[in-house]
Amino acid sequence: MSGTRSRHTTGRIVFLLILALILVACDGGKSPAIELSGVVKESTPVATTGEAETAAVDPYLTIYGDRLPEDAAPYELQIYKEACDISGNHITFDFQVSVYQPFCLANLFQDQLVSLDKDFKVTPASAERWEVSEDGLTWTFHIKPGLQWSDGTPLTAHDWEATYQLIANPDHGWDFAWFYTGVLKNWDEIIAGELPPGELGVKAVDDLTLQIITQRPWPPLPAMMQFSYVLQKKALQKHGPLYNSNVATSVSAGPFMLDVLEPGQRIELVANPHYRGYRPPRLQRLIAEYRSPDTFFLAFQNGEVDRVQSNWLSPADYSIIQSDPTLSANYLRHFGDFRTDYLLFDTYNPPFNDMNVRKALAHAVDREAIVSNVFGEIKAMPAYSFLMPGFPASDTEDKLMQYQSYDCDRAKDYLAQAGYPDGQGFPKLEMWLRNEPPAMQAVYQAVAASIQQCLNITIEVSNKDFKAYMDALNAKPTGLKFGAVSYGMDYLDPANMLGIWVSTGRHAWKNEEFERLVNEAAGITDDPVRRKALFQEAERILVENVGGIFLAHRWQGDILQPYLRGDSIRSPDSQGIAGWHWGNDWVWGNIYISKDVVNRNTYRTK
Amino acid sequence: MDRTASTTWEPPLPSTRPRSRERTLGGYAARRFFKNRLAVLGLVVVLFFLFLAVFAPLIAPYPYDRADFSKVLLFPFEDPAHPLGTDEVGRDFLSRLIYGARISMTVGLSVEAIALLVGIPLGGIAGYWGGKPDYVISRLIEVMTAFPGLLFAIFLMTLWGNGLLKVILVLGLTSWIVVARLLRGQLYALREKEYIEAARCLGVPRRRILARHLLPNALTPLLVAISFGIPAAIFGEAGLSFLGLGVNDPLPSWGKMVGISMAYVRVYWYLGLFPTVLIALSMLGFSFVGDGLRDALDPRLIE
Amino acid sequence: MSSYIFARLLSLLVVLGVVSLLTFSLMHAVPGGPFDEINQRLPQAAKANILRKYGLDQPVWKQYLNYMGHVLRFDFGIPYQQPTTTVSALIAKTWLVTAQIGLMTILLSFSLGLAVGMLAAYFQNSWLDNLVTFGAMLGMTLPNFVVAYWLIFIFSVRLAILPSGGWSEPEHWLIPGFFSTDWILPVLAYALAPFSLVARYTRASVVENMQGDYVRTARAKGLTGRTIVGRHVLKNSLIPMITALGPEIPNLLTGSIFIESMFRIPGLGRFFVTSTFNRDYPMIMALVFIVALLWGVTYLLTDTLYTWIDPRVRLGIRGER
Repeated sequence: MSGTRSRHTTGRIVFLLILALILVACDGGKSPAIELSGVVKESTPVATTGEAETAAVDPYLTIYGDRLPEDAAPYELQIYKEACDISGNHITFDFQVSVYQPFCLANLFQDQLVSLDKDFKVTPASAERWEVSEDGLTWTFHIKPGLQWSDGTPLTAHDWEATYQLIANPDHGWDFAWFYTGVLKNWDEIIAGELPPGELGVKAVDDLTLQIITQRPWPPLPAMMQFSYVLQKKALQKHGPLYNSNVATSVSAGPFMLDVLEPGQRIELVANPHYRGYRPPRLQRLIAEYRSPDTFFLAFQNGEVDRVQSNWLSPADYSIIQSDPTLSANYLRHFGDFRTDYLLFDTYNPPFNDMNVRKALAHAVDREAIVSNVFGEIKAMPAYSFLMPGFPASDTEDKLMQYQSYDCDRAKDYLAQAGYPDGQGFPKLEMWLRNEPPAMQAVYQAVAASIQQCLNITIEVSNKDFKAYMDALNAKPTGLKFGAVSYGMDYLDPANMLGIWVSTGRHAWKNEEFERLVNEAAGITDDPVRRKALFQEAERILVENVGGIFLAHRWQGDILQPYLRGDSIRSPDSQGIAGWHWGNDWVWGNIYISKDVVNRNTYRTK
Repeated sequence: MDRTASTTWEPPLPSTRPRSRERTLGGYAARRFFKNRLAVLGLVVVLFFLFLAVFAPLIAPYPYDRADFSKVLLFPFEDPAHPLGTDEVGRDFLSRLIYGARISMTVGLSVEAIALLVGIPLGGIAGYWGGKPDYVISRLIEVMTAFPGLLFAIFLMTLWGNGLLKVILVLGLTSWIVVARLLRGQLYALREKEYIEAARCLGVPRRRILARHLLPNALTPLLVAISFGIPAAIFGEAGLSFLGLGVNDPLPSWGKMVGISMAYVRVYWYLGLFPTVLIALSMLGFSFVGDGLRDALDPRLIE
Repeated sequence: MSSYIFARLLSLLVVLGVVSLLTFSLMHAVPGGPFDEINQRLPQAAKANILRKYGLDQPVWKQYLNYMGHVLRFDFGIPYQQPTTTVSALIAKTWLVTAQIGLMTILLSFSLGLAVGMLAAYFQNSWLDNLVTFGAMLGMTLPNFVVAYWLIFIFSVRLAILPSGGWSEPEHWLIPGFFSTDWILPVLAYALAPFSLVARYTRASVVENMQGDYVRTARAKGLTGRTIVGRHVLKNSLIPMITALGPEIPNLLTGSIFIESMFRIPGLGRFFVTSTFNRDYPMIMALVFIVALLWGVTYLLTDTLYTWIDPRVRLGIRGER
């Protein structure tokens, strides 16, 4: 069959062809045809041509006419690049469409009513000031005049009203709907379809005045408004909530506008020339490239991205960072969202319905050793209670440590009291993990080993599929007997963190005194001292009763390129911590690329 | 094997006569096998791993789940008590590798056993009888191939929990397809061959033809498939473990260790290297044995 | 023959139906849905709203009929992962890329593998043969993400001669519109395992067949070794090879999540895993259809090839004597 001979020959030819091409590629190593990735983009933003001429005049002026800092690179090099998780599930830029499935570089097409500073204090953003009525139920936000969308339409309170009515609308199906339950007036009824969205306690009194009416006095409301992302009423009516997923219909009142959207490949935002808000950006372009998370740090070292967050850094990456002085100096860690890792159980059924069993396990975990050696002190600190020191009402004096401290003898006593001397007869436990990455798997395995070796019981660790885990956790009655999970704050108030432990939440634990305290404290408006004391007592009950076994508080952080600068990330907060703080939206208006990017091998250099 | 028969043995003629093979195949094959150095090497490797798997508790210096938090991520030879270092939880790596043989060998062999048990009858029927049985079995194969294995794995695991048995079941479900298809294909080609015709003319019943003549001749690609199938099963288990669907921790399996090591391998190279080498060695071993068996059993090879 | 093919295509439809039913039921039987709470429990009403929006509050059989009704009109729904597009559009866009890599990989691995395998068989037991055998083993053992990682590390980071990722990026064209350097590393990483497989099976088959009678006859007739191997041996080796290697083709055409995520390739491969984990029902179903179709066609082709290669093989519903 002649076909076979030709196949043989074809094979040879193909092989030689490929070999030749590779050799050519080797030779052309310096040629512009083969570059690592990306070239310098055109420096003129997508906007009008007038600005281009201005930029040509003084290379250190932004399109807003502001001068870049002394040590900044020229405006045409003010490009920032991030890595985006290619295996992630991303559907929108807007929080009010989906909270848990955002594109990279999300929420930059608007400014919320308020923002947070580095100390998590609420600061004005789109709203210049706000006040609350006598009865504590009506909050009035005054919107800064002169704000506008990129199509020239003014940004008004009507946009917020329309947005809130959208997220309350049952047909919209917002995945964060629990957030305003019990807070905004009529929210619960509207979600259930009993009232129309127009009845929601969010009203535009006039163009610049927004009123928010709560169900009961709720002091944390301004902090919650950090999530008051807004959509344009006009675009909502014309194109629906996904209008930002299309360059043609996207409109922005924020520091950046959409330039390129290719899901799975890249996202590019460009500085918004129509922006009138509080944080005009120094950067002219933001780029997010989709990559496999395994390669994020590699890309960083290669100069292809400017920042990698701690949750994308593997233990090997940390090892490399910590052994290099420049990298160490540019790894900035901060509180993040005050995330705590803990073990939870089904306390309504054996064996965990016996508090002695829970206490036994709580005292059997050698947190210090695990955090120092397995987790890494750069990433975590041992936890003996739920609120991380630094969080309001947290235990900063180690008063709660005694309830869950590591004491193996005490642990054994408790287990014996529960009827399982030296672990005899204790059932085999299976600790469920929620689809954790290898580093966290190691930590939880260490916890299991610590308990196992102290109490002489058997614990297996099972890394479950995310959905299956949550399905079991949220089921009532719970399907999760024993598992590990973490939680980070949504807003800076103990009502939020402690609030997840009430019996209607996701934990199979109930304590009436605890619930009473949390409920009462949440509503106190005028007595911060008493409020704090009540929360502290509630947490004490939680810890003593072992609603959960608290393992570690996480330090979050970012590895930044040395040429990425700006006070917002490089200056310390009041606790002496510098970093890209959580909720600090001002960062995007402050960071810039410094001059010494020119001498480095990055995607910016030719 | 019956070695005494080999002293009076004569090599078979190129056109094989079925009768003579019955008496001499076993002994002849064994001799030929053991003359093949690579095959013997492979056998030694396989037996070594089986030995490790069976006697792990006696050989391993530590239990596989004993963690010492003061000795986390030690490099090989850094600490004399842990010659191959320790893993990310502070457990002795050598012990975990030895116990890993248990899981990997068990999975590899069981899954392949299922593949053969299910695949050979199905493939044999489809290939030899043809017609309706072939039709039904081929459609079954197509359905099973398209069936989303990952989804099924999640389903099984979440409903019945993790565990070695479930992993083997899930992997076995897809592994028999290759065997059945191979056998079917071989039989299609072989059943038209001359000596089969001859046998039929002689009145040999169909089943006997299948078992005595066709199957041994169809062995070659089957053996190669098996020798790939076992490491494939080991990899399959690794993939499942990687996605959270394999055996529970702290049970070690080589595949799972490779998967976890990816997050550490740039610095802690040994976490990835050793399990990979062991998987490769086991695969080599099985392959050489498979090759050796093929060479030994092939009736047409002449000294 | 054509009636045979027609009958096979009909049965393919039956297979698709069965697979779709099984998969649909399985999807809904697996715990966890696409819109489960990530953090906090949603109020009952809010959860109900979301489910109603996507038609997930109906009984499963009703949802299935509804879905199949749309499928018959070639409407495969909207993926939960990217609600601004349709399943058809998303698959069309991403599969184009995946198929491209797949085709290049098939070309490279099969041609090289065949060549190398035959060489090894021809020079059986020589150093070349042993090298090939050993190399093929290695190629089969290494998981492709490990290979990908080290290829990137060596060629992209250390030597900096090839891009570390991206697909048909404008800066990476070697011959614009025709060949991009973006393609080299992914195809190499992806082709290693199938190349090893092909080489191994080729060698085994050829070696086995070289012992056949017709080989001796051909030799007696005076034909050269190369002709024998090229013409006769290969032809007879083909059937088991096709059976073993045919399945590689649909595999390679549906992509690898590892290769695509390592090299930032916007292909179809990752959806197989992400759709399952995110319970993206429309995508899961569409992907199952694609896989079933591909395999059905592949099996049909390989069965047809059997007859073509060896006319003694007879097929058909009445294929037996």
